[in-house]
Amino acid sequence: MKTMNKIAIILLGLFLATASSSCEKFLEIPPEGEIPASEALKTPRDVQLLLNSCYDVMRSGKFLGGKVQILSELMADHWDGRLLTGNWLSYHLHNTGIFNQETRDVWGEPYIMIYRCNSLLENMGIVPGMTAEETKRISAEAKFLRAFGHFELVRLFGQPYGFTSDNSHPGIPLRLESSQKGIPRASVAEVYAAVITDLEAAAADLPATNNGYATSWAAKALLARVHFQMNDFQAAYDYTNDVISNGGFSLNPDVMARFSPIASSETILAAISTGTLNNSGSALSGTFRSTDLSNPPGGRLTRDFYDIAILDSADRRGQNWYVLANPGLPNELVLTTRFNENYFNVPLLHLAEMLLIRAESAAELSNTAVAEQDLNSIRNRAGLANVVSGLDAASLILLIRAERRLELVLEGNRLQELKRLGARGVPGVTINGSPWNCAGMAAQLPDEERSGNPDIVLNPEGGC
Amino acid sequence: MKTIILRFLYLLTISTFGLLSAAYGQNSEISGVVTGEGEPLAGATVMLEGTQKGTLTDEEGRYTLGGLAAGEHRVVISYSGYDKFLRVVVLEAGKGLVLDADLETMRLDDVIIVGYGTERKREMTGSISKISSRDLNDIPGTSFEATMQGKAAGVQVIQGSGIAGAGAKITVRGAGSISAGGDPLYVVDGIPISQDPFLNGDRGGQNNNPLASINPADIQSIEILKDAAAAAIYGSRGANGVILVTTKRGKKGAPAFDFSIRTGISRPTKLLNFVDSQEWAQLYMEAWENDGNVGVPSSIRGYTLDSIQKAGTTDWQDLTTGTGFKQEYNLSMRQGNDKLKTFVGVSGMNVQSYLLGNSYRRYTGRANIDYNILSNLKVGLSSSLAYGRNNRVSQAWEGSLGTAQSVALPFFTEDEPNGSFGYPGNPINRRSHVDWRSMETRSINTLNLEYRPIKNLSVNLNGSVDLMDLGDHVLEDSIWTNWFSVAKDNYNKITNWNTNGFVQYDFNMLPEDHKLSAMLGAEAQRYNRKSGYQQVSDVQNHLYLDWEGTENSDTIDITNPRDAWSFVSTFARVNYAFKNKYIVKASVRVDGSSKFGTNNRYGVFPAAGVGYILSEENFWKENIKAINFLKVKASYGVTGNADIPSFLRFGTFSGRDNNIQYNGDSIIFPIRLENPDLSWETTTTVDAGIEMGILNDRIAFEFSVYNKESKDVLLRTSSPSSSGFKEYWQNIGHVRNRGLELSITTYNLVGAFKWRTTINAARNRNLVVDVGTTPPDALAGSGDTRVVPGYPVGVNYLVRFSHVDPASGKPVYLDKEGNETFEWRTENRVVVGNVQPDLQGGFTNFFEWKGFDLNMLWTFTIGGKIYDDAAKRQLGVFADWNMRDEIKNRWTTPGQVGAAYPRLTLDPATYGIDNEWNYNSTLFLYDASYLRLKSLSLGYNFNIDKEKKTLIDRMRVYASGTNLLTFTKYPGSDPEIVRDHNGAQGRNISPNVTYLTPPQERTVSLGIDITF
Repeated sequence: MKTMNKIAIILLGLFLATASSSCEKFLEIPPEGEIPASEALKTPRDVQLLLNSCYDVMRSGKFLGGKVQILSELMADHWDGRLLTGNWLSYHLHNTGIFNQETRDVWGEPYIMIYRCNSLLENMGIVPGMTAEETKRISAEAKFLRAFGHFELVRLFGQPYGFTSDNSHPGIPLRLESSQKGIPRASVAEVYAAVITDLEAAAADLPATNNGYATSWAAKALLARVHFQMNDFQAAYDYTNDVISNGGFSLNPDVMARFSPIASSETILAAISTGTLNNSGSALSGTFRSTDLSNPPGGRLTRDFYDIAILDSADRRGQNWYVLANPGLPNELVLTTRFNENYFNVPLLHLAEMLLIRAESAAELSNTAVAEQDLNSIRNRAGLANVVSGLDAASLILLIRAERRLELVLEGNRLQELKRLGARGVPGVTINGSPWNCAGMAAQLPDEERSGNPDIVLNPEGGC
Repeated sequence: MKTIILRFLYLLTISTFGLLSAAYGQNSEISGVVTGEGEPLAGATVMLEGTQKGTLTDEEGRYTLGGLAAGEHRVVISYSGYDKFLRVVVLEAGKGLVLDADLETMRLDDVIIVGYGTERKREMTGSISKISSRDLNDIPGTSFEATMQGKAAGVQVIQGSGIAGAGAKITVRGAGSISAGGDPLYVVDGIPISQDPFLNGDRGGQNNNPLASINPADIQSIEILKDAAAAAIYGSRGANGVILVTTKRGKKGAPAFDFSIRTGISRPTKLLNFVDSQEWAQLYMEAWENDGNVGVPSSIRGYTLDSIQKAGTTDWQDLTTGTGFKQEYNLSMRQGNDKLKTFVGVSGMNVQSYLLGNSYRRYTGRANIDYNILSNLKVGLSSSLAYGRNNRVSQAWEGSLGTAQSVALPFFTEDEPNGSFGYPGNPINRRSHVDWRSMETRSINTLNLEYRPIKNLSVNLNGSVDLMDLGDHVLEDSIWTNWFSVAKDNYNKITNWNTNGFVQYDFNMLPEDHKLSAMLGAEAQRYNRKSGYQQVSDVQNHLYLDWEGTENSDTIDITNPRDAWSFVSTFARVNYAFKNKYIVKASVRVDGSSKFGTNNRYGVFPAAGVGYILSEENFWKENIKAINFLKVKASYGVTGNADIPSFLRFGTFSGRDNNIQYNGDSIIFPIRLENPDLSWETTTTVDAGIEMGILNDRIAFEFSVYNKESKDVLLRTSSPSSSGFKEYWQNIGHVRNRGLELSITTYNLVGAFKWRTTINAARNRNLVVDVGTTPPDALAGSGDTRVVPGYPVGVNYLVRFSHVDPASGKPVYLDKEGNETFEWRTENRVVVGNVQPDLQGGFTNFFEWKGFDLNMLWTFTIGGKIYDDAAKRQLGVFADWNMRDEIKNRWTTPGQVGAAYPRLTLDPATYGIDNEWNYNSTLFLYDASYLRLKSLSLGYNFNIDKEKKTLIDRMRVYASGTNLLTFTKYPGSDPEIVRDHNGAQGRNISPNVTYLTPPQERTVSLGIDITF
């Protein structure tokens, strides 16, 4: 009996020893394919890779790879909304609620980019081996992207600049440092000020060429757009003038070239695509691609707009950019061909827009010569003749705005243009039947923000 | 035949009256066959009570007791694990008497499998429900968990849907988890297995069900550990209950074969009624005119009004459903001798569901072998292999019946272009041009060594591996893609290693009245999952058949990061009984897991229980004869839940070698923030119960009450999405479940005509006590279900619909304060119901007479709400969906009072909403109560003369049906609903929400079981 007990004890002992040894090691299973955050930023190359990821978010289909453009166009005045349902219908009717998946995407994505930019700005200082030049460039790119994110967000989720005289109306949470805390919305004035500060720093520090990434010209071009949106014509003129005169960009004779796989000579900054599986334009082609008329895409234009666009038969844009399917039948529809390539770059800043901004700013500043010249540049490239020479500023402005609508169709321009005109004081501006400054023009914030930030002020609901 | 009839009469007389007149004499004998649940029992003891006379049954269960005096004898037949069988017989001199006995299990002296050992039911202090094999086969389910429905008190089983191979949702004693997985732990033959229903994502409610790879016919018993005293031995994984599955093993005796065939047909329990083309056109025009339009719209969804009015009506439900057909074959063999015992089984099954194009085929094989190497050393092998292939058709929002009940308009024809339907496309096209199969191979293997070096000491070592290979293959042809054909593969390869060992010692050196045993063990488990996605375009076949694309083809080959976790545990248990009436048990488990944060590495999970068998007291035995058994018991214990994603504790960046590129260069990016405090959920359970046997166990009664406090409940709390992250897991919740469980089995008639009734019912009150500062929308499920403190997990959080305004026909809602308003606002949502029933359970009636048996299982659910998330579109704003017939009860004329639905409109603003999807209101919230004839079977056992050497020993034929009758007020398709959700949280908080979920199937089957 004693031996038996001993055996039992030995067995038990052995057993426990096996069980408890190397437990800790057995429980240490780090995630594969991921690296601990503390190991992530070790070399200058790591910093560059993190910066690249900011661009990867920028070009995401949920952000500037399509969603910003699509939602703006839905809210503007040339989308055929007859078959719209669901989230898109809410946008089209300027009546969005907090449960809109489109909103979650277009809100969350730029903030992911902004978080990465902030974390880059905060942590790159501790990475050994960074040259002063690298530090300067990468910080400038991060600030450029952060500004781009804040700017697109404030335009979509806030009423426009000029909606209140001091722009104290609510903008968006301004994220200038990484934090998990919920913060209140900054005023539109504060957001614009921060955007300009970032962009001015970027314009000063960015190189003139940067292998497809943001350059000083991109920063200046965005500054031009920002100031133009503020109806600050002098600054808009100065920045566009600099870009047009000194940037070395030229209009591409082919009107189809803007959304093509090859970098166009007029592109200042694009979301770059390197193949069908690395396609920054997939959200746009998913929405607009018109190669198969038996399965027409969801993105459709109104017949009214089509009639304007093809009015001048010499206009190569009108001739090349549209398909009118089933004319006269109940299932008649207007589609675009602009996004039919298998993959293509999505230009985010380009010379045509700069020319249009300079033209209108010049006209606003009574510099009709420049206005006329720039307007004609755009028209000539489209195959149209010069406008009658010597028109007055007011007439030129109307022509430039009409041209702008045609030239930048489906690029996410129209909504903000109409809001800017409303803020400018142009009488009677309506957007798809609603006043430019009605409540629903600012998209509702998503539940995903409020869930983690319960005190945030929402936009008024109920639409326009 | 004559003899058969005679024997029947004989038996009838014996068992009805327990008497048989016979002449007096000295050489009478009693003989017969002893079976347990119909299986011959070798080695059963047959004794004459009060004498030394007795014998054991042979390998075929036969016995003969000879040389008996004429007169009255009390025959007692017993076998371990079965109830004693007692009959009084009267022998005639010189004549024989046949007394067959079929012993019953599941009485108060049953053997119950518990974690790492077994216990006698009479000595249990915890709450465990047992379901034995014969109760598992009445529902022709593809997966065993569904067949547990209505059979165990406090175990809520909701069958997923009518999709072939669909899984069920099991909730043991209420939902205790919110964001972490709320499913019980499944343990097969002692080994925790993977049952993750989210392995293959969530597509149209068609989650892969890993439990379907276990053949229900191979199962001997299922034990459900419900309270902490029982489940704490599984520590950090026991909080939501533990389901122990024990497979069949060889028994002593000559080889016996069981062969069964079952074949049947199925139909949906209920489809919906939709309007026809003419009605649709009329309704559209009414909406058009209601909105202030005049004349005729130039286009209605691409058609003219005239063409719709003249169009025929396509019955899309009819085009997507049909009569399902199922067949199932099982062949198994058991044999055994002193050295070797074997169970071998194979099965094949083919289920075509009523959803056209959807079928599930499964083949399984199992070998369970026990070999006694030495008299004190036993090795056991349990090995199973299963292959399943599911030919899927996209469901719900992706196609098939879901499309038929939504965007397939009546005037669309079968060859309508996909574009007319929006996203899912033409369901007929989708079915013909998208070939989607999921295939699963799974093998669960355990090697067990049991060594008894000395008397009373046993050492058990187990090693096991659970291998699963899951492939999800889609081939979209070029007609469907309008591009190149595309073949897509999602694959998952899972390896789940487990090793455990435990020693058990029975202390026999103690004085007579004391019984003490102790168990000590350790376990280690490691789970690995490799997965990835591959895609090739311009191929002619599935990727597993053909990898060759052309030069046009694009290839994607992504290997996902491995998923892996591990557990290391030690555990111990002590059982003590004094005089067979005072019982004390205690156990403890220490769990460490790779999932837990560095600040919370090991969890300790203790439990203790006491039991007192009053009926063992002399005063009881002498005075209260009617109640032959009475036990009161109470227990307390702590269990945990660790069912969370594996790597949440790590703050990480993507690796430098990920496949994502921008502008031709690589990227790295932050993925997650560090979470060093992450821990298991802790559930403290107090349980008390009574078990009673009345009138010699003719009535078995069990009652228990419990309180489960789950603290540190894991919540996937929201970060403001402007922070760059959307969620962060925290152990901050507190959920309480309190309930009562009742289970009664009565042997109403025990003679030739047998009638047994089992009733079980459970009432659970679930309450979310605390979720920190997390707002309702941050803990959301489907169909506007939320988690709100002060209410049960999973409340319907909706705007209240009051009535239709008689003047304008607009819907009138109530705001938060109860004031009427035409505007639907998110801030007016309130808690209006919850998804959990107040009371649920089942009752079974089993009748047996002359070889006939009839089994009837009713299940019921009382209380709770169903939210029909699709009805808001089928009866809402006129947009791109078809309308249900009920729309006829709408407002049409000013002044109309009491309309069920508001005026028709094309404009969401008429209903005060921003788009047609946000018409979430109590208008579509229904009472979830139902009573359902879950299964009904009628069988006949052929009486085969055991004296004759016939080929067949036993044969039963039967017909059975499931879901034959349902009584409910729910107007939608089926009140038994669980929508498969993308993630554990949805699964926890959104049962009873439907969104085009295919209804349950109603089946009728015929079957034969043969033993030879």
